[in-house]
Formats: sequence, structure tokens, C-alpha cells
Amino acid sequence: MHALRDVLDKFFNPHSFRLAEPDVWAGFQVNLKMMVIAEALVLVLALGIAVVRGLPGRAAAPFRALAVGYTDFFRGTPIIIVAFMIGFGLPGLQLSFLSGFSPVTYGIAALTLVYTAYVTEVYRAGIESVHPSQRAAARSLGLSYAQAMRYVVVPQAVRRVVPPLLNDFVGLQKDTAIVGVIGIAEVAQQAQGFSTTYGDFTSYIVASMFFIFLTIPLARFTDHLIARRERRERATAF
Amino acid sequence: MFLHVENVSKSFGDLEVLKRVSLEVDLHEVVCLIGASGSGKSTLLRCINLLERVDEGTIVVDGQTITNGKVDVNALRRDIGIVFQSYNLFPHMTVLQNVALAPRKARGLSRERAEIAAKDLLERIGLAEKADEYPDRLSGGQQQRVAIARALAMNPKLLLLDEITSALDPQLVSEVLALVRSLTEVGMTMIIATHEMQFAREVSDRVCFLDAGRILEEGPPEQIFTAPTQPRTQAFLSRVIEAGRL
Repeated sequence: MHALRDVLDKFFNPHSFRLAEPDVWAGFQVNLKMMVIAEALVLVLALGIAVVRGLPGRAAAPFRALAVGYTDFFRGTPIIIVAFMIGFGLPGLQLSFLSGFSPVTYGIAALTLVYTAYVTEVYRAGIESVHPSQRAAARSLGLSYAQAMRYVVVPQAVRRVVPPLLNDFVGLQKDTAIVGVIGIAEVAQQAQGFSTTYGDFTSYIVASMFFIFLTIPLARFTDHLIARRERRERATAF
Repeated sequence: MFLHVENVSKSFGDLEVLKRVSLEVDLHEVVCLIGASGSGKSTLLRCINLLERVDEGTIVVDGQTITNGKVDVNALRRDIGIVFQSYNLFPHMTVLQNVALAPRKARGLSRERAEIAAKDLLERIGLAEKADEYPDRLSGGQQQRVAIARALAMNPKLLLLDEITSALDPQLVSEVLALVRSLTEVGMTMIIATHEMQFAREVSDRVCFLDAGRILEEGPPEQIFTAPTQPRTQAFLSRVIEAGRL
């Protein structure tokens, strides 16, 4: 009974909740900013790299190799290492075009580099799942390779990968709290600050609630998108 | 002659699919390719619009050699339409968008002009009311007619039909064949790979019987279907008759 009261008092203390909420919320706004910018960049960059990975012909071989090397490296490296490399390494270089940015910018860069590697693979799986006959049909009409990709293959691929893409985005959103270690006043750092000051862990519960309240609507929105497409494009059951 | 196919050979790995095939097709001519599955009909069609590269031989379209690697593939394909057995409509686009896409992007027509032309075509094939539907909501026969309209929208000089009724339920075959028949009436040049012997007999100017990658026999449909000279043609046709397909 004693233990339960301790847990409630240290993790679910209504008074601490009200006390921690403003700082934690201020921190979470930094996470929100990082995730929105990183997600937008990831969406575009990953698609570009996925398309490069699928380029045909010998002339494109160096580009394909570059794309493979990139995804291999950043998919295999823990994000905290990437964050250290960028957040501490680049400012140390004292190069005007790489150094002198804010920790938030470096955090966004780390998130973008790592998640672009993941999402490239997601896109690539989507592109490969479009039956070759679709490409053949597009090409047979006189569309160029690029046009066939742009109008026929990629739109179908993107529609198919929405659920796994969302999954990676949930991961990205949570990892905004990891890149905070390079000195970003984001939600995890704020929550930790509160808990060390007051010896109370309610701030962590507040922080996790922000993340969960963000993820659940995103998941429902994706379900809605998928259902709408099913209604529109799929035959009604015969 | 509009199309010259000369001594074309094509292999997939060890499998020799076409063996020195030669074929000539004149403008406004309708040529049917018949023969068992695997005899090379589809491969021949796919070589003509360069979806497959020939290993040997030459193909000349409208005075231009297309097999020397120097031809503008996209320009060539704009003039040679192909319709596939499995329709291959674009599932993420409406019927109208399917038909209007290539005229817009490959011919550079404005959306408005391309869509007006596409509606016109759909009207002609009796599917105007399906313009805003997605392909999966159409029957197989309707989808195949849209695929034909999509090819026609480019105003091709030559239309290749690759067993376009083979994937259809029997009761849906006739609407597709009726559409093809109407194309023969307006003088469309066509090469048709088909298992519909009665249809081949009725619409074609010439019939080619393919066997194991060769054109074994060719001639006017009446001759091929009533008095074939090659034993293998006779054997093929008697099997077709046994199966009740002629």
C-alpha cells in the first residue's frame, strides 16, 4: 500500500502536474518544430534517394552506389551517435557553412539524415511493389522513364507505403527527445530538469502524454486516408 | 510497306523465343498472329514497339530502322499503340485520366484539349458515363475497352493487340471484339495476337501461324483456316476445332 502511494505521489502528483506543465509544454514545442521540419525534409529527400536507387543502366551505377552507401551508414548508426557527430562535431570544425548553427538545427539535421535512410527503404519497397506491367504500359504510350515514374509508378508507390511511413514518423517524433542530448531545450531535457529540481517524476508523465496525444490522431488520420482510397479505387464487393 | 520485320531473333536466356521471323505489314492492313501459347506472338509484338530489344535482325517502321539503338524510343511508341492481355490500366487514375495522360504528357496537349478528346473517345466506345470512375469499378470488358481507348488517344499509326480477350470471361469477349471490328472499318493498321479463331478469320487480311518462334505459314484467312498447307498448322487448327473454338 505504501509503495503504491509512493508511485502515485512521485509520478501522478496533481500538484506537480500543474507545476511542470508550462516548462514541459515549452520544451515540447521545440520537439514539434523539429519533427515537422525533419518530416517534411525526409519525405522529399527519401523519395529522391529511392528513385536514384532504382535508376536503370550502367551510367547510373555510381549514383546507385552512393545511395546504397548512404542508407547503409545512417540506418546502421544509432541516432544518438549521429546527433553527437553532428551536434558536437560540426561546430568544432569551425567551417562557416557547417558550423555556427543552433543545436536545434543540428538536431533536425541528425533526425533528417537517419530517418531519410529508413524512409528511403520504405519508398523503395513501395516502388518495387508496383507491377512492372504498369511501367510497361506507361512506356508503351510514349512516356519517358521519368514521366512513367512521376505519373504512374511513384503515385501508386506512395499510396501503398502510407502505413509504414507513418510508423517511421512516430519513431522520428519520439527520437526528437533523443537528439536533445546535444543541448536542446526540448521536452525530455525540460522534464528531467523538473524532476531533478523537485525529486518528482510527474514531469515525465506529462511529457509522454504530449507524445501519445500526438501519435493517436496521426494513426487515426492514416486509417481514414486508407479507407477513403479503398472506397474510391477498389471495386465494391461483387 | 509500313512495317518490315526482317529475320528477327530474340532469346530469353537459353530459350529462343523468336527465330529469324520476317513479317511485312502495309498501312490499313489487319494481320492476325495465331499459334499456341509460347509460340512467340507476344514477344514479336513487344519487339515491334521496343518493349523488348531484338537480339538479331531489323525492324523498319515507316521507313525508319528502329532496331539500331539510335531511334527515339518515346517518339516511336507514341505512334505504335499496344494493348495488353491484362489491360494494365493505371489504378490510381480515373478512366478519363487514364485516357488523357499520354496525350498530355507525351504529346504536350493541354489538360483541357486532352480531356475533351478523351471524352470524345469514351463516347465513341460507349463508356462516357464511366469517365470519372476508377478502373477497378469496371468490368473486365469495360477495362479492356478503356485500355484500347487509351492507346487510340495517341492516334497511333499502328496498333498492336496482345491477346486482349484472353483474360476476359467469355460473355465479355464480344464487346471487346466489336470495338476492334469497328477499328478495322476505319482502316486502323493492326497486328493482333489472338486465340479467337473465328474473329481472326473474320477481320484479318492475313493470318500468320507461329510455331516455336517461327512464322510457319501465312496467307489469307480463308486459306489458312480451310486449306492449311503445313502439317503443324493443320494439327493446331484441328486441336482448336476439337476445343470448339472455331
